[in-house]
Amino acid sequence: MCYGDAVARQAPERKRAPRRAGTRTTLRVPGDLAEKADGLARVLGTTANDALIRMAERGALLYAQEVQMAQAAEHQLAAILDAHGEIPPNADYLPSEAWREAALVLRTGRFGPI
Amino acid sequence: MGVAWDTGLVSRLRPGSGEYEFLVATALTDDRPLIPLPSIAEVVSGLSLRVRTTRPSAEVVWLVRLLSRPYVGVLPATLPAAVAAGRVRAAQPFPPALRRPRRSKAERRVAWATDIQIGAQAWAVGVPVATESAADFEHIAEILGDLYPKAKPLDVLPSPV
Repeated sequence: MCYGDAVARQAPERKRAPRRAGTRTTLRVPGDLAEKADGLARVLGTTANDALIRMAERGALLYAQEVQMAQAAEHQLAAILDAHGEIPPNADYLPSEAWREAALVLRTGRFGPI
Repeated sequence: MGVAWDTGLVSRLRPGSGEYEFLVATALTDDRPLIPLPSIAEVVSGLSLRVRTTRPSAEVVWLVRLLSRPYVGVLPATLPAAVAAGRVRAAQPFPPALRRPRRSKAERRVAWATDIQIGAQAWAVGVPVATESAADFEHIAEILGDLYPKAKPLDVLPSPV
């Protein structure tokens, strides 16, 4: 007996999918995705189309979170750059060795003046 | 893919340095440096500590501008990297005595914790790490190899500059 049989045996009877408002459409569903939708439909006792919509809704939520975080990261970086201001045209940078010493101060512990 | 740079190399990024020139020249090649987030935090912290004002120092402003350029690669922090770093730290909580210590215990611990994260992040995305402290990273690579024998090992390279 394979896993699919066990799931099918335990699954409740298929019902009609809930009616949804929205645009009717025809789309080509890749084979592996159709299989996943079928599997989910069996577990949930619904139609493959309904399972596909539920998967899309869950995926849309994940995408929305990713986009939201990417946008927030972009916004935060802009805020950092804004707070830092422009590099002064004649910036007086630390000389090479002092720069490196400052950059590594957490691991060298040389907290003295430059 | 790129090569992760350790904090020692990141600390050498400054206007006109060999490391800066290398980063710009290789930005769109397979040798591009990938800058680790723990190194950025450490270097920004160090450069900020040395110039104690409410505004960031010119060095910090310059570095952050450079790192925010789209062509500069940042080494991603991933879930496998976090897990691997945690296991390496558990296997070797304190810095190994690989050579005669030049720093205090506390300072070596800071460096060890950062190096583990860099090594694990590079390992997690399958890129080598370039460093001036090969012994430390070779030790991290060895621990990772023991913990995850089926994973791609972490390669340790000398500084490309």
